[in-house]
Amino acid sequence: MSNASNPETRVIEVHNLARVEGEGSLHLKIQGNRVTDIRFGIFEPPRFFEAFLRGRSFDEVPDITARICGICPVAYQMSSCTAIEAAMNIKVEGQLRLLRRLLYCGEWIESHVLHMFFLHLPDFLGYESAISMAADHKDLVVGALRLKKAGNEIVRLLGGREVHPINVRVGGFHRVPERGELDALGEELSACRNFAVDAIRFLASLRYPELEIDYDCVALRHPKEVAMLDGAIATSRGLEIPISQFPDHFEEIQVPHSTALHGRLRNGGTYLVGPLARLNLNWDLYPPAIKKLAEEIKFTVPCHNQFKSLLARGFETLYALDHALELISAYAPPSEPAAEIKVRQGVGHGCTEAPRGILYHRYEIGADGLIRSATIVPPTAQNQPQIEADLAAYAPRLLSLPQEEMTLRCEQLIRNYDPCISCATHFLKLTVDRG
Amino acid sequence: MSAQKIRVIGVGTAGAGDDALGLEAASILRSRVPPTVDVTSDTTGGSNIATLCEGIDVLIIIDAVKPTPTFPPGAMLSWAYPAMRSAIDQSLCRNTHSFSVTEGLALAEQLGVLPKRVKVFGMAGENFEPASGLSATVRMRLNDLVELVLQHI
Repeated sequence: MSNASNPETRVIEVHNLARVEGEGSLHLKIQGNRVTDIRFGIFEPPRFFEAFLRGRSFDEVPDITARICGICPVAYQMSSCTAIEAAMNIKVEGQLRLLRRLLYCGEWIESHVLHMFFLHLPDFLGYESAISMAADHKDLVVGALRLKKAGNEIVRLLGGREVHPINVRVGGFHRVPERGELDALGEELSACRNFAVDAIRFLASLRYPELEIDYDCVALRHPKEVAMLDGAIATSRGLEIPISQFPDHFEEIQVPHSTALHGRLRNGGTYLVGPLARLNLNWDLYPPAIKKLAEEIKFTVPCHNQFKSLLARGFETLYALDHALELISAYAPPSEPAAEIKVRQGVGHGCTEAPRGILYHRYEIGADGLIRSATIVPPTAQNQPQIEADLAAYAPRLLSLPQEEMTLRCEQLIRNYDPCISCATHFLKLTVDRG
Repeated sequence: MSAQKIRVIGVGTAGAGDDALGLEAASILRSRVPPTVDVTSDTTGGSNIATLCEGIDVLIIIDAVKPTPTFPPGAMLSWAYPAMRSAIDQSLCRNTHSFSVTEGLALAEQLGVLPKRVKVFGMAGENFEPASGLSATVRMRLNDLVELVLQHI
């Protein structure tokens, strides 16, 4: 529709985002060259889970929270376990901790590969979907499928199944693998490495829209390794706090246009979590071989272009693959599958690096081991305001484009974040109001 | 028994009511087919289908179907792919976080790895609630579904 009285007003209105977990919508209004209204709303299931958890036993929490997401259940299990272990002063160390890192490598690989090659790459190459893209890029798709399957296999082997693992428990695992069980996995990961490297080179050859944003990046930071399970929460503005202080510096607020909570800094600022933020804050800890590859493709850190999160995911995938190989090579089965647990009353905070960014959990546990209160802050909630800010900065540059092309570009930007609500692709049904 | 290489994939989600019926049917089938028939379970929706198409002549997929007035809970359906592509797409339960079964089949087709014979079997579910098992209706009919699949092996 056109706005006869104000021909310079352009409105993008999307009422229902299909193929999403919950419901989402986008409203974008531009007057002249200025975005005057932007509302990216979603409905977020985890709120219900916090209520479900109250009154449940602490040892049920990892399995219940794993159900929040089908693509990153390991993240929910790891954040819940580390929070409960903090509350009960349980130390998970040595091989048990390393097995958790290995499990997380599997999730990073399968989640990132799915997003990079099947959900996001078609945007860059101009295809409607991964299926149509496969006709012209068969080797790329076949290699990606194999790599994703290898990631899934790590999760299956350690977690008991590929989706919603059942082998994780507070303190460690129900069962740990024998040494020989990991051999075939190591061989398959090794066989995928050349593809992972070549894929990054291919991704580097793509044309990336120019959109530099001065992000406040937020990620876990560990002094000795690329953080996955633990460390301090660090920001690119210089803040570095223990995980337990997350609520002191970050908050979730309600906004009128969405039932989903929006994460923000307590000073009101937006921030970025996820692969690009992690890379910007942890690049010094990356192995030399990966840094050399970055140099070869002229990828520089810090990077402030979220479209290049595609490359950041590529580097994280390669890191996860190499790290998984290291962990498999050095693996010796621990004597016990889990640390000893003594139930005690307490409050615990956990934060781990889900594929999409930091995932914070807080639990208050009674002396009977029952959950008194639970707080879960997923990465997509934290990134929502930043997505809106990115759209506000990007949309005015697209005004010369036809409506359909402009919408596709906005979708591509949203997919930079791999938001859980839009795991599937090409979801916007657009109406244009020029009236 | 045929000398063709056959793979059966039971698709679904455990602990989500009748969405697990493909997994349960695969579990029963494992004890009913010769070792030359590969039976596997896939909880990732359809994203592994293209990979699982390698080296086989026949692909059989078992999944849960949304009930309709025509096909109430427990009703069984079978389709040939790609001939009945749209009917499959409209009937199967979708995975919001990954490929659907039809998308996985379409990808395999595009990659040229789809076997010559593909058959999809479905049973209409009754309950898809999280943290629940198979409904009594589906549990009662599950062996019938297995028998139907066996007729095609």
